Amino acid sequence: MMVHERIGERVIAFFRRFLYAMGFFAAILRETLTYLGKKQSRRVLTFQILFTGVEALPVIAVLSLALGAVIIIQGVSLLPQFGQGQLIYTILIAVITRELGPILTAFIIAARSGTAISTELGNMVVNHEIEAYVATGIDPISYLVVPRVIGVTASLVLLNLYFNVFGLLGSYFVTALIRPINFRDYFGSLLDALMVVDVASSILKSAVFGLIIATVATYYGFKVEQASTEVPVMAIKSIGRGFILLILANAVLTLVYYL
Amino acid sequence: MVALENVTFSIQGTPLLNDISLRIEQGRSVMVMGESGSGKSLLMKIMAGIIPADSGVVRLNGADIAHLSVRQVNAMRNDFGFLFQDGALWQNMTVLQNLMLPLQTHRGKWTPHQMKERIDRLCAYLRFEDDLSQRPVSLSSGERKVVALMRALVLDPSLLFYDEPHAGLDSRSSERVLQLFKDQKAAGKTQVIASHNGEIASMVADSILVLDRGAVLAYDTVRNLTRTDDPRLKEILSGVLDLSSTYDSDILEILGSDDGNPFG
Repeated sequence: MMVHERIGERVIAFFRRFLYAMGFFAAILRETLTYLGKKQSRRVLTFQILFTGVEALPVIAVLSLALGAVIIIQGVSLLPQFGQGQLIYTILIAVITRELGPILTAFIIAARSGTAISTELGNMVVNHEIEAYVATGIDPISYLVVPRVIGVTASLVLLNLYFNVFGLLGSYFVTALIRPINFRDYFGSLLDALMVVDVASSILKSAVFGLIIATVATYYGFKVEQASTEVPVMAIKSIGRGFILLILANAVLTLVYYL
Repeated sequence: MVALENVTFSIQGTPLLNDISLRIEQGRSVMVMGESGSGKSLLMKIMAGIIPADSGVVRLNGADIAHLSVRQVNAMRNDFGFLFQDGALWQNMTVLQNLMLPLQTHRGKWTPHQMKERIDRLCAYLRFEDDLSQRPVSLSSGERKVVALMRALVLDPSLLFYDEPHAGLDSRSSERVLQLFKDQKAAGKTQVIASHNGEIASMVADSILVLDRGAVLAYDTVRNLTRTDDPRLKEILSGVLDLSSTYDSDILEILGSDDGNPFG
C-alpha cells in the first residue's frame, strides 16, 4: 500500500471514530433528557453517586487540606515581604476555587471512577451482559451510561464544593497550628475576595469535567469488543484521553472567564 | 415470524455469514446445527436483532428491524426471550434482580407480588431451589444456565432463541429443559434452538437448519434430512440424527408437563 493511501485510510478512520463519538455523545444527551421518568436505573445512579462521590471524600479532604495549607504558608511567608500580604485571599480564591479545585478533583475522579467505569463496562461487553440488556429491550445508553454520566457529574460538582470548603477553611486550622492567624479576619477577607462569578466558574468547570470523564469512560468501556485483554487497554486509553480533554477544557473555560 | 433475506456479516473483512435467507413461521420449532465456528450463535443474535447485519434484511413479525427506532425494537422485545450460550447474567445483580428487571421493564403495571409469583412459578417448574438473593458468581455453571433460562422465559414470550441450552447442564436438568421445549411447542411458541442434541432433533424440531462455514447447507424437515445423499450433510448430522431411522415429527407424541406448565 502506498504512503498516501495509508494516510488517507487513517484520516478516514479518524473521522469515522470522531463521528461515532459525536453520535455517542448525542445519544447520551438525548437519553439524559428523558431520564427522570425512568425508575429502573435509579439504583445504578445511587451506586454511582455512592462510589464516585461518597467514597472519594477522604482522598479529596486530604488533598485539599494539604494544598490549602501550603498556599497559606507560602503566601503569608512571601507576600508581606513585597507589601502585598492582603493578596493571599485573592490568590487562595484564584488557585483553589477557580483553578485547582475543579481540575484536581476531576483528575482524582478520572483516575478513580473513570477507570472503574470503563473497566466495568468493558467486562460487561466481554461477558455478553450488554447484549443481554439489548435482548431484554433495555437500551444500554439509557440504563448504564446516563446514570453514570449524571452520577459522576453531580458527584464532581459536590466534591468540588467540598474541596473548596476544606481547601479554604479546613486548611486555616492546619495553618493555625504552625502560624496563628485571626480566624475572623481570615474568614472576612476571604469572603471579600470571593465573587459570585468565581463560584459559578468553579461549578461550571466541574460540571463540564464530570460530563467529559463519564462520557470518555463509558465510550472506551463500550469500545471493548471481544477479549478480556482489551479491557485494560481501553481503561488506559480512557484515562489518557480523559486527562487531555480535561486540560483542554480547563484552558478553554479559563480563557472564557477572562474574556 | 422471523425472516432473513440475503443476510451477510463479516469482521475485519472475514465473512462469517454469507447470503443467508430463511423463514421461520409462527409456532414452529427450528433447530440450528453446525460445527464450531459455523456461525450459529452469530446467526441467532442477528435473527433476534441483537447484532445488526452488514447487509440484507431481518424481519421480525413482518417488520424490517433496520427501519424501526430503538424504542420500537425495545418495545417488541416484550415478546422475545434469548438464552445466551454462557448465560450472560448481570453479575452486579442478584438472581432475583436478574429475573425482575425484564418484568419491571415490560410489565411495569404488575405489582411486585405478581412479579414474584411469576418468578416462583418458573423456579418451581425448572426446579431451581437455591436462594434468589445470591449473585450469579456464587452459582455453579449449570445453575447459572437455569437462571439464564428463567430470565429468557420470565416474560412468557412467544418467540424464543436458545443458544446451546444443554451445555453445562446435568442429566436431570437436561431432561427438564427438554420437557420445557415440548411444553413451549405445545403452547404454540416459536422456538429457535442452536444445539447438537439428538432428542431435540427427534422430539421437538419441526425443521433443522444446518450451517456450514457461514452458509446454509440445508434447511428442511428432520424426515427429509435423514434421506439426504449429501456427504457433507451426512457428516454433520451423523452424530445427532440416526440416519438409518425414519423420523416423522407428525406422529411424535408431544407431551405436556404434568406439574404445572406455566406457558399454556
